[in-house]
Amino acid sequence: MPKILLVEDNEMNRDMLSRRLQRKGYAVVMAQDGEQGLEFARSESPDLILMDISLPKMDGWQVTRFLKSNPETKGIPVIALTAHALSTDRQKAFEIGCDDYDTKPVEFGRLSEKIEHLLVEKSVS
Amino acid sequence: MTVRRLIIFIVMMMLGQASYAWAQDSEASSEYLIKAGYIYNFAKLVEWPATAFAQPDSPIVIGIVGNDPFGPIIDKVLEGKKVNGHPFLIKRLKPTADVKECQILFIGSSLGSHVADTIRLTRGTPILTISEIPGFADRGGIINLTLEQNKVRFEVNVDAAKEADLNISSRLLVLAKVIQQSGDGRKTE
Amino acid sequence: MKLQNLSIKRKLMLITMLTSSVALLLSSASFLIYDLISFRHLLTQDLETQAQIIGYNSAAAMAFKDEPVATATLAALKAKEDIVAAVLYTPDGKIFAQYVPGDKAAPAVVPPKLYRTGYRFEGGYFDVLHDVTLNGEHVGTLLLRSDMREWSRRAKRYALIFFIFVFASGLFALLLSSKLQRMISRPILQLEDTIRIVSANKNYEIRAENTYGDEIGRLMDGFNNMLAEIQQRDTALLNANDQLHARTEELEREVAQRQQAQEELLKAKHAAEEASRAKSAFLANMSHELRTPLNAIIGYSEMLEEETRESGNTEAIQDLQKIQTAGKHLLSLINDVLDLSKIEAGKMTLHLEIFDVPPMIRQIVTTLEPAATKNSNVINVRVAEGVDSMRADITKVRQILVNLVSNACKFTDSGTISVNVEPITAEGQDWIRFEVCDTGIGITPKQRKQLFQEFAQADTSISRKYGGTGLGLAISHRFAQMMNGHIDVESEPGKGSTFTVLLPVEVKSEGQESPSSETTLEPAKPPRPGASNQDTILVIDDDATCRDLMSRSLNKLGLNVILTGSGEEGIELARRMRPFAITLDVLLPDRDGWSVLHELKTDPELSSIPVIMLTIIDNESLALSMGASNYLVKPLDRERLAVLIEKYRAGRSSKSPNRNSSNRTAEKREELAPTKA
Repeated sequence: MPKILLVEDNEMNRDMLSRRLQRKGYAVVMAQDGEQGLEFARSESPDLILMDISLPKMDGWQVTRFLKSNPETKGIPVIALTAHALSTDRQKAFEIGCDDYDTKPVEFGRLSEKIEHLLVEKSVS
Repeated sequence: MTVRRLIIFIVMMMLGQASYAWAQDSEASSEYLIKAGYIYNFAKLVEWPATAFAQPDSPIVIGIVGNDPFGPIIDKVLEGKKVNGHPFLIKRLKPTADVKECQILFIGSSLGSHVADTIRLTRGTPILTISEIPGFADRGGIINLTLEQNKVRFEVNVDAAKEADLNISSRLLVLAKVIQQSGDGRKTE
Repeated sequence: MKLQNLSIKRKLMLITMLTSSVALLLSSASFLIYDLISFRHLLTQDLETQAQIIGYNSAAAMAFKDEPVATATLAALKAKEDIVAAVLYTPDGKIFAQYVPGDKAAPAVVPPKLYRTGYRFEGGYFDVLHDVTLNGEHVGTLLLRSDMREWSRRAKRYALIFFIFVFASGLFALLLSSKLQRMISRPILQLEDTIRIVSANKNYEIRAENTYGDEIGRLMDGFNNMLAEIQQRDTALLNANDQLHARTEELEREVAQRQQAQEELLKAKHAAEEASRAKSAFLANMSHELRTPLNAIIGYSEMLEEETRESGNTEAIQDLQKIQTAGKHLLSLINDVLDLSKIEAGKMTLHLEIFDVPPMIRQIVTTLEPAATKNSNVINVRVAEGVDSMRADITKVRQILVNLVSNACKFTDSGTISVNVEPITAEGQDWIRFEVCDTGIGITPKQRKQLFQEFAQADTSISRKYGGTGLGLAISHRFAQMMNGHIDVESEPGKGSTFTVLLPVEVKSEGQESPSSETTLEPAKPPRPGASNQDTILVIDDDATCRDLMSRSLNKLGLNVILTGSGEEGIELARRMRPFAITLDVLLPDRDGWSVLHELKTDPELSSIPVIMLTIIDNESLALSMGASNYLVKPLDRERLAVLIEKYRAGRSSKSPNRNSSNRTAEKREELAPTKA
């Protein structure tokens, strides 16, 4: 069962998303903020990370950067969840090193597709 | 005394004689040289009347009567000389000769008594009578050459010159002892 | 004392004095000299005559060598005071007679050869020698010596007279000249005086009194004319000055006024800015605050629906779906309201980028298939040849089209909705035309009037029947306007409607004339110290966002990045800066990227710099044949770019093509399709 790390500060969103993911068949680890996210990324070794960008203290971009520069964690695919849909945000996401991104409010179907795609890729490489 | 010495003495004596004689001679001749010169100069300072010369270049005839004390000296002195274009012609004349053709007549001292005659003869004629006989000028001759202190001087009888129609330059008179004595013997000095 | 600086008076006097003195000196000197010379001549003659007489008188004495008489003759010279010696020499040069008054010695024997007859001046005495002859015969030589005392006396007298005369006439000339010089100097001095007064008092009304007809008079006239002119100009100047003062005062007042106005404006501006900031903050907050709970509602209801499906409670599913629908409706309302508020506040900005149109159309259609099928409608899509990419705000374009198509779906029942996209040229510009036709209920003319206005859905009943917020068209309209395009509608009630959206192929953002003017250098970071051309890379891309991203990522690699949006400037910069590599976007505003590449490769100075072509179009073979070192398709694979750059940096150039595995467009074109004007 693939493990997904969900970094999201909003409780309701966290709740919704995690339950739906679990039903989909994923194991879910949740982090409330950037720090926790980093910690869990290292300690839990998830197969994929869903990163909310608008986190308190350290924002999602920073966290992703750290993750991608750490040899331990840089192999874990990251999907950025952003409230903005601007091309700049898209570019930024890729520049930071995100493997994909999606907009909020989350359209679960779309998101699941992206998750699946990345997990498949990862397992192949 | 050697013969040689004797000869030398004789020679010397002779030379001395000769020189003495010569000196005397030269002395004598230098006096007449000067007198000849005087005569030449008289010719320069005396003016004859126009009738005295036939032509402008007729010679001034100097007649010498009596003894000739000049000798060839006077010929030499006057040779080639001219006065106012007139050359000189010296004639030695006999006392009886015609003296009228002379312009100058030199009367030698040997004439003695004839001197007066000659003077009388030439009186009033344009003949310059010159002599060295003492008292010549007093007796009517025109120029008398004297010897004073070894110097040749002369006396000039101006009246006689006037009578002879001869104009004697004042320049000459200045140098002469002027005697004024007319023929008739009146003396004025 | 310099001559030049003497006063006129002195100069004139000096001139007069000098000239008159010189004239006087010359004339009197020449006169006196002449006189003295002729006097001497006279004396000489006199003495010679004297000698003749004495000679004549002493000739006889010389002939007869009568010394006393000769001496006496000489003695007659006593009468003549100036005779200092008289000597008679014999023809052979011996002294014969002499007359020497006083106690002076007789002069030395004169060599008869040299001085037969003649005279000479020697030792202050004048000697006359006379040949004494008696009737042509040389009898002696007479020497008469005179001290020329008469001449000396005369000369001295003359000298005295001369100096007195010169002095006296000098004085006289001085007097006269000092008087006469006034003729010249007075007018000059007068003029000088006048000038001085005029300058001192700056009074240009004064005129020089002119009573002279000569050159000075003319000078004075000239001067007076000049003064008149100056006076004129002065007056004019004063007038102008007065005017100027008046004007300046006016201006100062105006300036004061404006300053005041400016201050007020500034205050107003500050207030407005504050308000604006407040608005932005509000909008941002609202956006977030409003969406968050809604997302929760929608999210949970979705989730519940899924869970309920599993448990098989079909009734609950419908209820949950209703919640979802209401929630989604509310969400779209909120989005519309927020969008409109943003537009109203002027906070809506354009995010321009180049994107492919056909894929976007397909995506929209796919998304709206369910909406179409709901009313048994069919969507037909036709994208014309020549529609490739455009530069616009993709989100807004999408929103417009989604709005139109969903409207079409809403108001059509069992009909056909056609979406036609084609390029057109109008008014000298290239446009893309999106046409959404439906065979629906159509729009009445009355409804048409209110169509694009907010909150005025054609009819309140429509919203109830058809749903929708009524804001969609207004927003689409605004969006189209922002992108310099417009939306038109044609309709026949009962038959259907056709909405036409015209957007420029290349949307120019506001406040900028053309993208090509965005050629300012925008380094994201200052160049690292010590960076040489070895570390300089030139980025040519007209998209500001692209440039920004490029510069950031390249800066990370430790490079000095030069940015430009213009091909011309890019070439210029390449020449100047000699970067070690150049990234070149194909689609450039002023020049076609290919021609830029061509120029770079044909310029001997620049041909050695590797060029990486970046583009959204895939035309690798052409790029490589034209000399590009590499060819990357946008959006960029950053890793590949970094690798390439490292290679070039190290000095090795790689000619092997690097293909970007992702995002290959399905259609491969033979030639490059023109996308820009």
